[in-house]
Amino acid sequence: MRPEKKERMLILGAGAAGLSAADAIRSVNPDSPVTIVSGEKGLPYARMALPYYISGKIPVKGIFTGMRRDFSGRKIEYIPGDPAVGLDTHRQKVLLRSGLALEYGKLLVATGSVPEYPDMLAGLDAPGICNLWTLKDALQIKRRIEHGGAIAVWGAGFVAFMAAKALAMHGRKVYLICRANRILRRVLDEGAAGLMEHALSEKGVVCLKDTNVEHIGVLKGGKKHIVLDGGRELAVDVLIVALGTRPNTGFLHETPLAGKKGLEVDEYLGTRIPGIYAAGDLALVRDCVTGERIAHALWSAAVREGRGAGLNMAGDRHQCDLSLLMNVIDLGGYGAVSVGHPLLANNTEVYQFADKAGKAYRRLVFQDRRLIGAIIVGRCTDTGFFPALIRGVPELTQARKQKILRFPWNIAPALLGL
Amino acid sequence: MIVFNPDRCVGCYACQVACKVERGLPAGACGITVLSYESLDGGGERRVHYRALLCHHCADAPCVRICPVRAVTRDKNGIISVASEKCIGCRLCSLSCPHSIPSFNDRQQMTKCNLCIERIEAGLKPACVAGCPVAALEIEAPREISVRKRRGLLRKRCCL
Repeated sequence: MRPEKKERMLILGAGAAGLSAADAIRSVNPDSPVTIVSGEKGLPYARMALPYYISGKIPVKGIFTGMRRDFSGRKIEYIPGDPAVGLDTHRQKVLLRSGLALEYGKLLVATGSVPEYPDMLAGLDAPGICNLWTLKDALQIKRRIEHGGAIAVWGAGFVAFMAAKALAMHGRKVYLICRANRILRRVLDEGAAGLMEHALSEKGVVCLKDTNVEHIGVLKGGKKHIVLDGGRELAVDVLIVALGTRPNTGFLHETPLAGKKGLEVDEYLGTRIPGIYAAGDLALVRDCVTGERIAHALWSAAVREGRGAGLNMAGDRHQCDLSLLMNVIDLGGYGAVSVGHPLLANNTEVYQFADKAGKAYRRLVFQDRRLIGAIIVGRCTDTGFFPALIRGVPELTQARKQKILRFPWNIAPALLGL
Repeated sequence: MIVFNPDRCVGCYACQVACKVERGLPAGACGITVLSYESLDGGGERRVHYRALLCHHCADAPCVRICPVRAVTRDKNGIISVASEKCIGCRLCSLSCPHSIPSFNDRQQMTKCNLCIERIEAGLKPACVAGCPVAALEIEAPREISVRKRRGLLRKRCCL
């Protein structure tokens, strides 16, 4: 009997974390039974590619991340359209909605997050009011805007920005309803947000700042009537709600794992119950700058954590702590990157550089000698050097720091030459 | 793999020109980037040094792992290449690459060194290697590179 080798590795979720974990398990252990359970029907797809599908940059088949033959060829069982509804940690079983109970030897919870839906919309089940979260949402939006029309996007975070950009690229009139005084306020400062707002407005997006929605109704003919708190009214064909997300942990409510902010994990991504791991949007991983346990709902973090969890499930000891905030947005060649914590205000030195003619901007934030955050707008050729610097590898010397500050528009020569 | 010898480089940028001509790349996109920096030597003389940023075709490549639409792949020879028509231009690869290698063409699709695979299959050297007038670039199999590294014959080319 070889219980270690043959125990079933059960992965809940077929997003970035789940598929990375399956790849990692297979890279170490080609034989152990691996099962992936997805709550959504059909093949797994990349959620972050949905805006690109809407904008027409790629066909729908371009968003899929795994084909049936990939799974069967690598002896991975894939169960779509059957979300987990319960977990029995004593019997080591996961109950699915269809009634199927799956036993596991090791379990990875990578069910991601679900979008927030405001109470105001409860009971208003009108077609054309949706999130941009699933393929179903994207297909609905694409169908409705095929022959023109106006769209409102409620929210001004990453998903809202991507949605507005995609629809503007599609040649549609877009209103971005932003509750704060700037877009992407968690990752960009006022200078960078101003440049991105300007770039959005050139594409035909109207940013309504310091504005919230007071009432939403449906007009005759299906148009959505939106009343804003300044008294302004909008009539649009589609309203996209993008007001943030929360961890998808509803099915864990009867287990000791349940937490409102996510699942606490150790540096090997194991939860407090041996044999159960968590990765992706719901894993509370230590931040590499602040040390705080936080769930970074990012594709890059999900891939890294999924791989780490997969290796550990397969018997490795892969430390996968210290997550890094990394956001990159692009508007047809004009992009912004935010890495680390560029808006942190405790004991920090902030350096800002602006090139108005080139529409470029940089904000570098240091804590003593260590770079802890950066915002880069416009010239983005050296962005790959920032994540390693912010992780503290290599440690900056005073001379290097001075050289970076002397030549802030391309830090590569400063790093390679010193 | 392409190996860069900083002691031979004279900073003529012929490699960049050859790469762009070979692959028809627009402004801002190139498979190889030569950077220069100045320092003072022991006698107070200014010296110019060169470094080349080029794809290492990493064994465990972060760009392959992070690509959400699996446009960046490794072939059976270990060459990492990108299927441009699949690329969505999300730029996660350029942020995940520790050498910031990926660049983007006019259609916002990622482009990077593919080791001029068509030339190699035709028995030619990659365009940058063939175009270098001072033989600062060489193409070698990974096994030969690791042997030379072990013997201390290759200098560390990048401090990161």
